[in-house]
Amino acid sequence: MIRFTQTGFAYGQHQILRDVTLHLAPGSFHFLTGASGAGKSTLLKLCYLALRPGAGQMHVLGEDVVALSRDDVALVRQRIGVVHQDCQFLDHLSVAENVLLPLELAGRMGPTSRDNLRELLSWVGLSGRERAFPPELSGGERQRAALARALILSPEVILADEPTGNVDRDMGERLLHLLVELNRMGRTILLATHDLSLIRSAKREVPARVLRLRDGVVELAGAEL
Amino acid sequence: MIGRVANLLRGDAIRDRIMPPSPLLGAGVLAASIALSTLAALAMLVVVQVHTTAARWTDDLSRAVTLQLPSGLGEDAQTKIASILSATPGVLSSTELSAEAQRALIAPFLGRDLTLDLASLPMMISLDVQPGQFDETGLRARLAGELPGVRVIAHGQGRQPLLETARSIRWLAIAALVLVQLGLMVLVALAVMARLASNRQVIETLRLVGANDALIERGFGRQITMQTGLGAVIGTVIAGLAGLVLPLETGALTFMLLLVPIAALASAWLASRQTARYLLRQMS
Ligand SMILES: Nc1ncnc2c1ncn2[C@@H]1O[C@H](COP(=O)(O)OP(=O)(O)OP(=O)(O)O)[C@@H](O)[C@H]1O
Ligand SMILES: [Mg+2]
Repeated sequence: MIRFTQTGFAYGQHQILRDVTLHLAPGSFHFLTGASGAGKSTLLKLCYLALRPGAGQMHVLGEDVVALSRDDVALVRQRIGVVHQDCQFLDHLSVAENVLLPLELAGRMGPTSRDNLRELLSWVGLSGRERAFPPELSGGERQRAALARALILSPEVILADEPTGNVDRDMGERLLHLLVELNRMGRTILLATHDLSLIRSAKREVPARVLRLRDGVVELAGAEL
Repeated sequence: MIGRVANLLRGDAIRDRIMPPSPLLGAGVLAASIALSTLAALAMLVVVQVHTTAARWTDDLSRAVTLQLPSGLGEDAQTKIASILSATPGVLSSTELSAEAQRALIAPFLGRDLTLDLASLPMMISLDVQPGQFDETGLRARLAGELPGVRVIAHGQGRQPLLETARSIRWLAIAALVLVQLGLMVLVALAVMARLASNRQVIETLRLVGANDALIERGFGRQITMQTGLGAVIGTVIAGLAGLVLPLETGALTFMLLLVPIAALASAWLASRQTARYLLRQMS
């Protein structure tokens, strides 16, 4: 699904990733940990093609990202669901419209789209909030709306950057549970977090691997988790 | 199909509403577009008016040619003239002007009450000619050879400076039209720049959910194009009303005013797309 081969990345002089070699197999569940500023968000941005690698190679959904045109990037993005660290919405559109936006932009609105939307919103626990506007949502509601938006296109890969960062324990567990369920349905998941207890509770449910980002290199975290 | 057009106008589809509304900028674009389009439509009225008038002058005057004969020419001279005229291409008919008609012709210059010795007036023959076919130089050459003293007066020539003035006015008005159109495009480009600059976050979000540049261009260009188009329609109506009040004789060519909103829409669409495309490239 996603393969890093000796990939490097720097913001100007500031080297973030040195030599990352990593393969996320289809249907796998990975956690990405690391200190704040280690480059977790950066690695995720590389995965959803918001950034391009500065060195080495990288393949996303079988495509060599270095060779992709701008329009192809948009097409690949439609196959990846992203839950941002600071989930951004179009504040002038309702929650329902925001969640439907990827579908609209992909030109894939159909007669069943509204039903799917209702089902999805009730699955993430946002029934009845369709007409609200994003600024009216609580932190947890925003995270769940972002998850619903990430899922509306039935993406093969789901990337989540601190999806539980702004919510309490219970809501964090609920969100995690949704991701675990998605993984059971065959989705590939990469979740960046520094919440170790979240990782522990997930490992009771799925065979998740834990990656640690340190000094620009990704290593497999040991069994201490 | 009709539903899709209606949707485009109303902007019902979510993809047509990806740009956050900005009432203040919208009002500014609308007002500027009204002002510029009123100017453009007035310039268009000038073009049409000058064109209509000049065309009539050219038509009327280039058809009329007068031969002035010295007084006291004999019968045989007149027959000679008749034969020369019949051999000249483009002469449709010829009429000898009566004394009364001559008096009417010169009345504006000398006054009607003037008592004239009619016998001393030169004789005039008025020709109705086919513009384009009439061989004026040939006629002059033959008359000069056979009947020196006969003058050929082509009235179109006297009006030549007027026609040239009309032509330059027309070019000036066309230049004004083009400049107004350019101003409109710059206005639209600036509006698009302002909108893109103040909505970087929206663009980032859109890209995140899989929007390509074309979709974003469309979303951002659409509103501004619509506002410009609406302003152009209003401006054209204002100029059209002014045209009704002013003593213009634009006649059937008034429909040319329709070109103003059409051109405004086209240039707004083009300018917004191109500006957005350029800026989005820079912003990636
Ligand atoms: N656009 C940018 N330009 C320059 N430097 C950046 C940019 N974005 C991030 N950085 C820097 O790159 C480093 C890694 O940032 P990143 O956001 O990937 O960290 P992170 O691991 O996600 O941290 P956190 O856990 O706090 O979210 C940080 O030092 C950050 O300051
Ligand atoms: Mg981060």
